[in-house]
Formats: sequence, C-alpha cells, structure tokens
Amino acid sequence: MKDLLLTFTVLSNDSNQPEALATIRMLEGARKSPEPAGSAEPARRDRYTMRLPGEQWAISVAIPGYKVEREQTREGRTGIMMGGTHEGQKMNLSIFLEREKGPRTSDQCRKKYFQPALSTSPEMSEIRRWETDALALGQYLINIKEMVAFDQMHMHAYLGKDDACLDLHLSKVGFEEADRALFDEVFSSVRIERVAD
Amino acid sequence: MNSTHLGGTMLRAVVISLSGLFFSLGSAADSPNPDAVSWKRIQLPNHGAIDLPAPRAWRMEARKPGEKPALTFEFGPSEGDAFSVLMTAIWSPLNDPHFNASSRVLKLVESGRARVKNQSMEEEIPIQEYRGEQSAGYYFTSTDRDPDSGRGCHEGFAVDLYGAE
Repeated sequence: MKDLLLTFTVLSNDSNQPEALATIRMLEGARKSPEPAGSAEPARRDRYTMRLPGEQWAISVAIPGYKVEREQTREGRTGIMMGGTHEGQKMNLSIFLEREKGPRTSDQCRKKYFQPALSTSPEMSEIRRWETDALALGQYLINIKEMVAFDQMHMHAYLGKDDACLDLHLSKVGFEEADRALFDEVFSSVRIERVAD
Repeated sequence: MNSTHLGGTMLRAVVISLSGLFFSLGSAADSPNPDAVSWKRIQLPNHGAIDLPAPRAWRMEARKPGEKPALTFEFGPSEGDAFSVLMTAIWSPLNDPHFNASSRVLKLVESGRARVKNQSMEEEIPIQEYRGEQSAGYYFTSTDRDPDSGRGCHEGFAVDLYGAE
C-alpha cells in the first residue's frame, strides 16, 4: 500500500527514553491486514442517536447520506463514539460523547477538546470560535503544502449536557466557502431527546 | 514548544518522532516476544487494518475518534500518565500512489525537525531510520529546552505528526 502513513510522537519525562525504544520495536513488528473480503456495507441512517448509560436523555443528529463506519464504546462505558463518511459530499463525521467529572457547559467542553484538536497538525489556519444558542463551535483549516490537495476544513460543535460533553466533528478535503452550509446543516440538527427507561 | 499537559501532568517531549509506514515484503526483523506484547489493531476504513505488537502493559485508546483520513490513537501506561505515544494513520484522500514516497516523507521529517530545533536542547538532531518486518520509516529525537513554559506545546504535537516513508 503506497498511500498510507503511520506517524508517531512519543512524549515522556524519562530521559532514558524506554518508551521511544518500545515504540520503534512496535513499529518494526507492525503488520498490515487486508480488508476482509465481502465486508458488509456500512449502515446508512437519517438520524443518529447516542446515549450514555444511565442517562434519561440522548443526543440526536441528522446525518442523511452518511455511512456509519465505526461505533465504539470506551472501556467502563464512559465514552461513546461513532465515525462515518458522506461519499457524495466528501465529508467525514465523528460524534463523541464522554462522561465528565461534573456538570459542563458547551464552552467548557470546547475548552477541553478544541485546544488539543489544534495540536494535531502543523499547518493550521483560519482558526475561529463562535457560538449558537446551545453549541460552542470551532474550526480550523489544515493545508500541508508538501501534500498536494490536502487542504482540509475541520469544524467542531461542542455541547455540554449535565456531566457529559459532546464533540461533533465534521471535516472536508478541498473546502470552499459554499461548503459551509453542509457543516451548518448537521450542526443545526443537534437535538437533546428525552428517553424513557 | 514540545511540552504538553496530559491528565494534569506536564510531560516533556523527550522524544519527538516522525515515521511513515509502507508495506512490502522483506527485512529480517525478529518477531516480537509473544509473552511481552499485546497485539493492538488500528482498523482503517476501506484500508484494512494495522496490527501493532504493543508492550503488554500499555493501553490504547482513540484520541480523536472518527477523523478520516487521519486516525489518531494514544498509547500510555496502564495507570497514570507518565508517557504518551500518539500514533496517527493517514492515507491519501485522492489515492495518490506516491503519497508515502520516501523523498516526500523525508522532506516532511526534515521540516518537522526544523520547526523544533530552536526549542530543543540538542544542537544537532539527526534523523534516524528504522526497518521492520513490513514497514520502514524515519524518526528523530529532541528534548524540550523549557518544558515548564508550556510555550508552543500544541505546535510541538502538530509538527511531529507527519513523517516518513
């Protein structure tokens, strides 16, 4: 496979760097597994609902046209995520709902998650933060000049509800201003729904 | 520049590494000791999966779940936050067959090294190469000169996420 990179960063206070050596050893032993034949077609859903265990509410987001490709629950069930794509619009989507240690506002959720998100690429511009009635949002554009056509707009919408934070993340390669409506369409569809036991 | 808060603890970026990965047959790396490792899988949508022989004591969890074409995972100790290993899978959104060409990736690594040089304790930061069973890549090591300042910690992360063949 010639279009795949695996990159790594090791952070440690140990000047002997045992983790760095272990990481190199891990990479030396890395193996590629092929895509399984006959993989099931990812599910398409018009609306996606996500609920933390024990809560009487759920987050609901309209995602027409998106294929749900990944769904994971963190060990201990303190976090849930899904990931998907919209092939026609060339959009990527992820929704992450995580239990916090206390009540959180949308702005607090943004402070926790957006700043680390800004650390994930060296070539970041158009960083912006804004709010709607319920959501705290943020965006950044990644444009790595050494990689042709890698310009990618990322937008996050954060929502604090009780002691939980939602991080709704959309991204699109080759972003143009007209594409902003595609992001807004998803963000404006976020709802909190009451759930009966 | 290369320090970050993780779980409330300031970590010094002793090691800044950049690596790419290509898969081809060859090389004579020893298989990892099965008793010492726990195989971790990074599932790539429509691109198969990467299996990594991680130290048994390491945990792995998604850091930015769902993002594509980059998928970032964090390895760390089973308890605490003494270290952090961030690993990101990236592939060409345009199926560029030269996406991980050696020359291109090396240029990225050199670019990353140039960015951290002013903040590094080392005057010289050599780029090293590794060759594994099915992959090869480059990396470098740098020690943050002022890890407690918190300056530029995000850039430190960012620069270092792209690399090698």
